[in-house]
Amino acid sequence: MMQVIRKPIAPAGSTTAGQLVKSVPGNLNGSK
Amino acid sequence: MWTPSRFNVQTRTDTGELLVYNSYTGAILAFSSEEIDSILSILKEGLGEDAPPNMTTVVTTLVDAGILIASNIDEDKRARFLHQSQHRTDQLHLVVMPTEACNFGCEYCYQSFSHGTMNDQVITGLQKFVQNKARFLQSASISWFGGEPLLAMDVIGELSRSFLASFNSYGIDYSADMATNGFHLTKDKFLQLLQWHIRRFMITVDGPATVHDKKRGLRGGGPTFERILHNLKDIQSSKESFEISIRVNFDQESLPFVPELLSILANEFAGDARFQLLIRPVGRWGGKHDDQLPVCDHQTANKAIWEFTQMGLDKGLPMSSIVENSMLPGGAVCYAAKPNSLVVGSTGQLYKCTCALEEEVNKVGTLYDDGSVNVDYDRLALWTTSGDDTDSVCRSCYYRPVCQGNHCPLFRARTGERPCPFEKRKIHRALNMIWKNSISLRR
Repeated sequence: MMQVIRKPIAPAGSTTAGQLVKSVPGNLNGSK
Repeated sequence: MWTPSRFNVQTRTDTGELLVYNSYTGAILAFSSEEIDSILSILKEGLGEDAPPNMTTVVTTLVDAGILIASNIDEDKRARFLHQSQHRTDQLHLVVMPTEACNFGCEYCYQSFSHGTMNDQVITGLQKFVQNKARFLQSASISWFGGEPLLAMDVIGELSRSFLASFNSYGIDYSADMATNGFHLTKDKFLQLLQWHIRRFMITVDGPATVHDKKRGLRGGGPTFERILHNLKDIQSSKESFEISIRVNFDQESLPFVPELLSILANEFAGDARFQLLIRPVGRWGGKHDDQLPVCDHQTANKAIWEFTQMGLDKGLPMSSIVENSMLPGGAVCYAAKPNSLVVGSTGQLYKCTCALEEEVNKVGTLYDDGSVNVDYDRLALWTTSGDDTDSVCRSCYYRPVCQGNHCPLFRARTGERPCPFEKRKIHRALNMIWKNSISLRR
C-alpha cells in the first residue's frame, strides 16, 4: 500500500512554499 | 503527458519499501514491494494521458506530490521563481542577541564576547523598528541567540511584550525559537518563555557528564551537565506543547562516548516527542582553539551523524524536526542568504551571519534608537546573491529547490567551495531516517 510520509508543503508553483520553513541560527551546516 | 520531475530522489528502506522524495514540494511517498515495479516504470518512462485503471489514486498522488509533472512544465523556471520568492517583504526574521555575553567557555566557541547586554537605546530602537514594520507583514519569527540569551531574561521580556503587542494588533503569525545552553533554563523561566511564544529550543549536550563538562564547562571552570539535565527533566513534567532539540556536537575525542550519552537521554526522554535529537560534528568555526580541536574528517562526520541519529531513534529519541524541515523547499537556505532576515547585535550593529561577527563584510548596517536603520546594500547583496544565481552546478542539482546553493554563503565566500547540506550528502540515509522517524512517531 502506498503511504504518504510527508505531504507536499504547498501546491506546486506556490511562492509560499520556501517561506514556511524557519531558519535556526547556530552554525548548523558545520562545513566550516 | 506526464514526466518524472528532475527533483525526484528514490531510495529503498531496510525493509524493502521504495521511498520517493521530491525536493521542490518536499513530499515523500512510500510504496510496498508489490507496487515497486509499476512505480519504477512510471518514474522512468512517465505516462500518457490516462493512468492505468487500477492506478488512478496512485497517479493522482504522484502528481499532487510533484513527482510526476505535466511534460510542458519548465522546472528550472519553477526553481528560479521559488528562489525569487525569498524577496517577499511581508515576512521578517530577526536573530536577536539580547546579550553577547556568555557564562560558558566552550572549547569550540567562535565568539569574542566583546559586548554585553543590549542597552535601552537599542531596545527602544528595535521595538520601534518592529512596530514600523508590523503593518506590512504577514508573518514574523524571532530567533533568540547570544552569547547566552538567558543572561538577559529581562531584555527578552521587554522586547517580547512589545513584539507581541505589535504583531497582535495586525494579526500577524508570530513564532520564536531560542538557542540556549540550558544552564539557567529553570521550569519557571521556561513557562514564562512559552508565554512569549518561544516554543522551539536548541540546547547542546556534548557527551556524558565528564565529556560534556570538559567541552562545555562554565567560563572560569565548573560543571554544567547535571544542571542542564535537571532543568530538562523538570521541564518535561510540564504538559505544555514545545520542541527541544537536544544538539550533540561530536568530535574525534567524544565520538566513543556519544552512545552512552544517548542512553542517558533515552532513559529520561524516550517516547516524549517534544525532546528530539540533533547530531552535528564540531567544526573549526573561527574560535581561538581551532587548531587544537580534534575535529572529525568529513567522511567520519558524515557517517557518524546518521549512525547516531539511527541509534537515537532505536532508543526512542525522535530525530529533530530541524532535520526534516531542512529538507523542505527553501528549508536549507541559510538566514544569511535571505533578504528579509537580519541579525541584531546587542549594540545595534546589524549582521547577516551569526558566525563571522568580527568580519567587516558581515557588518551590514546599524539600528538607531528611533527605529530607523542604515543598511549597506552592497554588503547585503554579497550575502544574498551567491548560490544558484551564480553557480551552474547548483542550478543543475536535484537538491536546488531546497538549498538554492545558499546553505552557507560564508563557507562559499571563504573557501570558494560549494556548501552542500549534510542531508544532501547522505540523501538516502536522511530519507531513511525520516521514514523511520515517521514510524516511531506513529507508535
